[in-house]
Amino acid sequence: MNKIAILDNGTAYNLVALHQEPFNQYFERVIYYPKITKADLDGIDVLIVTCLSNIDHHMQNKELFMDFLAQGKTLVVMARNEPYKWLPDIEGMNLPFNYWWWLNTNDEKFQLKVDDENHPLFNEVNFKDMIWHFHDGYKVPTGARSAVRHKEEDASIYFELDDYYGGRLVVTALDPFFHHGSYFMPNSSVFGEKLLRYLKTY
Amino acid sequence: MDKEFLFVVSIPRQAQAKKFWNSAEHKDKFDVIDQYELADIDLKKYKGIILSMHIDQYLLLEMKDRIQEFLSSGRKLLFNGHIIKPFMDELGVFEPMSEPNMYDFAVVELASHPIYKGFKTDELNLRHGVAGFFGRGGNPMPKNAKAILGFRGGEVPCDWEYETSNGGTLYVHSGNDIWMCFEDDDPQGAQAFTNIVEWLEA
Repeated sequence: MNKIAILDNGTAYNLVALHQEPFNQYFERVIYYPKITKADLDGIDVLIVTCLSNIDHHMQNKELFMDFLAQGKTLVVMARNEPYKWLPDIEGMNLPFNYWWWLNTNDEKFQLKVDDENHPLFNEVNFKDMIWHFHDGYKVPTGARSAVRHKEEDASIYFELDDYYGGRLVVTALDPFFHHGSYFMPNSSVFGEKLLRYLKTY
Repeated sequence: MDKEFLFVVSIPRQAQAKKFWNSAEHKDKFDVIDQYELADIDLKKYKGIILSMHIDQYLLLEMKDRIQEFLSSGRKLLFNGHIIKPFMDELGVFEPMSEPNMYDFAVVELASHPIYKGFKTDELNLRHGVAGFFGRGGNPMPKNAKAILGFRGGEVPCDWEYETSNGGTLYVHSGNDIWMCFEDDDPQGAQAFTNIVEWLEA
């Protein structure tokens, strides 16, 4: 089983999602992000960059992330972290944003679809668990495997890249830790826990 | 010269409130700092402080004595969000509504307050089209606090005001940042921010 660490920004939604049941049982270590050091990642297999983390801290820790990847480890970047600013070869794509898309899923501008039904993510997660809203999307990097994409635009909402600077990269436009920790949108709690189960054995 | 008020930025590069504190109308009134600069600031030189829902609550907890000292002689503090690490002895941990239905989220006015001057409570419901965007529960009220707005027919206060024994005022909105509860092109966001500034000035 993988040992998972996750970044804690001290926000209300991080304090609830990372330190309380049911998510807390999945974390080997919850790391206070403003004071992160390389030693915090010793023995860790998977590092999750929590949704809506502090981007100033990402810019300051570029080397730490690259070093972690170079050890063959897995970096998971959740939504609202602008990874194209602090990770190489990642391209974001602006997509229309609609808070209530999940209430009116007929609106084509906001529709998602399964990109690859054999993607291993779906051994644990159901596509319907991934539907509340999403924050932009990503161009699928060469060699990456996208699980969910936008229906109209050529943008991925969740992809994995197995050969990324020595390690593995997971990027998603979904923000389950923010919503679960904010007591907002029950689907995000379902997806968050299933994703953690998946990452345990990824 | 020092400004009257302090706005604390918690998510740099995603400073959604910038268009409000940086507007021609308000920018001369605010010193704006990153939350990690709080340790070096003499809070008492300000008449009012605004904190966002994204603040690092470990920082607030470390500042407990300074917050208590600040809240005296007519000074005011506006706190948005869920209190998970109570930063005053009188405060408790945020309580989400248990098993809420759509109707529980309807905002009820319990007392009029300058922050919502000109707003109808109906306008605070279904913000961004989503029941619960305005709030989803309440931070427990200290004894002698005055409930301003509530959910579940008023049973669950989400906004309240509390005068400390030293004559300071704490206003708590237990939800998303008040000025963020409106669409980008809705002038009510700016109106809410102006109301907050006028309340701080009074």
